[in-house]
Amino acid sequence: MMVGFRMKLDSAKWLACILAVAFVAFLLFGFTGFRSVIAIAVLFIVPSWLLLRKTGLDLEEKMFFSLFIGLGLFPLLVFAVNQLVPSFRLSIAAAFAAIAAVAFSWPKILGKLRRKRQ
Amino acid sequence: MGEEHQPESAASSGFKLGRAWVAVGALAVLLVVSMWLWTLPFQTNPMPFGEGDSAWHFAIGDHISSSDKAAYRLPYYIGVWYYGFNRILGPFAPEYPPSSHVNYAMMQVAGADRFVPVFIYRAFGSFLGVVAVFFVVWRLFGVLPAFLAGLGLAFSLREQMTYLFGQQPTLTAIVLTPVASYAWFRFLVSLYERKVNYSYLFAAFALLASQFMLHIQGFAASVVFIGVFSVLMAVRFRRIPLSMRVAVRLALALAVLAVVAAPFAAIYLGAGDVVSRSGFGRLFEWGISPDDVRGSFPESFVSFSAEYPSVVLPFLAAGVLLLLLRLLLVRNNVKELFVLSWLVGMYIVVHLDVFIPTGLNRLARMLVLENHVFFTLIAMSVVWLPQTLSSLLRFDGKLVSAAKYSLAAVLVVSIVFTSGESGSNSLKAAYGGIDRITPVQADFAASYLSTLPDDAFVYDPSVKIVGQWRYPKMRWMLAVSRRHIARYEGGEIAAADFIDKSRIYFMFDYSDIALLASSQQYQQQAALWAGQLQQVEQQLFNGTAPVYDVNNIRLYRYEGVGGVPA
Repeated sequence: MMVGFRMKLDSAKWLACILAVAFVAFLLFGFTGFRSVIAIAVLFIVPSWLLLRKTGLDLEEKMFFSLFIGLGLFPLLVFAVNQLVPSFRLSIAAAFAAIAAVAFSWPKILGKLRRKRQ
Repeated sequence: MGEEHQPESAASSGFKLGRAWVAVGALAVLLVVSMWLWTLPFQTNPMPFGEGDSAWHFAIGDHISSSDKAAYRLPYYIGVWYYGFNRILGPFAPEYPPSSHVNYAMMQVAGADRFVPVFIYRAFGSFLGVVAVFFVVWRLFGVLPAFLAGLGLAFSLREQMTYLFGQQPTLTAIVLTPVASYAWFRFLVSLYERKVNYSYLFAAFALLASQFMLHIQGFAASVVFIGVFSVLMAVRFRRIPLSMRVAVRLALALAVLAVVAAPFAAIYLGAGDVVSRSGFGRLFEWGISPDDVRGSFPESFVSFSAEYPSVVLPFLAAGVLLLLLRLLLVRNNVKELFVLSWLVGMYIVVHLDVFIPTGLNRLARMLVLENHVFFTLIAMSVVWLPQTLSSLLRFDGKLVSAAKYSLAAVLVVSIVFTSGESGSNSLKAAYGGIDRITPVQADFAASYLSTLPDDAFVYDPSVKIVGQWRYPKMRWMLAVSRRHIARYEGGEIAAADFIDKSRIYFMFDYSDIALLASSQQYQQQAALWAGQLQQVEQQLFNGTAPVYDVNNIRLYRYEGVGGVPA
C-alpha cells in the first residue's frame, strides 16, 4: 500500500511538471496553448504508458520511454486505423480505445495462460 | 578510483526516489525556459514561418486534418512539389512515413486551431533534445549534469536553426537516439550482470521503430550507437553473453521491427536524393565543411565556434580528458563506456559518406548528435573534475561539493550570457517583417486561391526577380491555400505532363515590394523589382484582365499565349 502511495505521489510530481508547462503555454497562447500541451501529453505519453505500465521498467523510464515511443508509433496506429475507419478524428479515438483494451486485457490473458500452464 | 566491480544496474545507479522532486523541478525549469524561448518566433506574430521544408511538412498534416483522411498518396498540390522523387513508388508517393504528419494533424484536431498547436508541437519536437539528454544524463550521472547539459541544448544554435528551417521531423527523430541507446545500454548491462531485463530490449526496439517512422536518419544513428556500444562492451568484458533464450527474444524483436518498418521501406529506398561517397581524407575532418553544404545551410550551422562559445571550451576539453582518464582508472566504467560509444558513434555517423553514398546536406543534420555528446561532456566536467581530483589528492568531501557547485554556477552563467542571449535574440527576430507570409498574402491564399480548382497550377515569377527570400513565402501561400504554387523562371509554360493547360494561373504579388518601397532605404531597389515584375506581367498578359486584383496582388488565368525567355 505504501509503495502504491509513493507511486501515485511520484506520478503526481510529473503531472505537476506537465501542468507547469501547460500553464506557461496558456500565458503565451491562451487556451489553445494549454490545449496543445495537454494534447502532447495525452496523445504521445498516455498510449505507450498504458502498454508499458506492467513492464519491469521504473516509473520515470516508463514515462520518458512512453513519450519517445508515442511520438512515432501512436500516429502510425492512427494512420493504420484510418485505413479502415473512414474518419481521421474517429481513428484517433479508435486507436486510443484499441490500445486501452489491449493494455488492460493482456495482463489478464497472460495470467490465465500462466495458470493454465501450471 | 575502484568504485565498483560490476557493470552498473538500474537498481544500483544511485537513483533515489526522494531525489525525484529535484529532478522534476530541474526538468520543469528547462521545459518552461525552452517553451518560452523556442516559441518566440510566433508569440507576437501568429503567421506561419520557416523555409520551404517547413511549409511542405505543414501542408501534409494540414491536408490530413482538413480532409479527415490520412491517405497514403499525396494530394495534387503537394504531390507535384517533388514530383516523381521516389523512383520505386512513383508520382504522388509520400517522402516520409506518416507519423510526423499525422502528429501535425492530431495537434490541429486536439488544439482546435490551424497553426498555433502545430507550431507548439514543432517547437516541442525541436527542443526535445533537452528532454532526451536530460533523461539519459540524469539516470546515469545525476540531476546536476543533466540540468547543465539540458540548459546547453536549450540554447543550441544548431538545433534552433534546424527548427527554424522546418526540418523538425528529422530533428525529432535524431533526438531520440540518446534514449534508444540508453534503453539498449540498460538491456546490455542487465545481460552482462546475468539479471537480464527484457523490458529494456523491447523498449529499445520500440524506440528504434518510432525513430524509423519519424525519420530514417535518427534510426540509422541509433543503430550505429548501439553497435558501437555493444562492441565496446564485448571488448571490455571479453565475452558476448548471448544465450539461446536471449537470441530468440532478440530475433523476435527484430522480426516485429521488420514487420512494422517493411510497408514504409520503399519510401526511403526509392528516395531520389543526390548521394556521393567521399574519400578517406574526410575522416581527418572533424565535422562538415561549410563548402560542402553551401546553399543549403549557413556557415554557422556547421561551424564549431558558432555552436560552442569559447567560455565553454575549457569545460569541453576537461570533459573529454576526464572521460579518457576515467575509462583507464575507474574499474566499473560502463557508464563512461556508454559516453565513449556516444562520441565514437557520433563520429562514425557524421562520416557515413566515407563508407556509404550519402548526401552531405542530409548528413549535416546529424551534427545535432555532436551537441548532445559535447554538452554532456561539458556538463560532466563539472562533476568529474572535483570527483577525480578528490580521488587522486584525497580532498575533503565538502570542498569537492563546493567546487562542483561553483563550477556549475560558472557554467550556467557562461551559457546563459553567451548562447542564451544570442539564441533568444535570433529567435525573437526570426522571420520578421516581409521574410514571413504577411496577413495580406495569407488572406489572399485562404480566401481566393483556395477557391481555384484542386489541380490548379499557379506560377509565381517574383522569386527569380526579387530573390530566394520570397521562395518560402510562396510555399506558405501554397500550404495556406491548398493549391500548388511554383516559381516561374521563364521559358516554356506547362512543359510537364502533370499540368493541366486549362488550370494554369500566374500570380503577380507586388505587396512585399510595396512594403519595401515605404522605407526610404529600399525605395530604389523596390522600384527596380516592381519594374522587372511589371515587364513580365505585360509580356504575358498585356490587355488581359486579372481574375483577382486586390492589395497589390494580381492573379491571371493563363490562356496559352506563350512564355517569356528563361
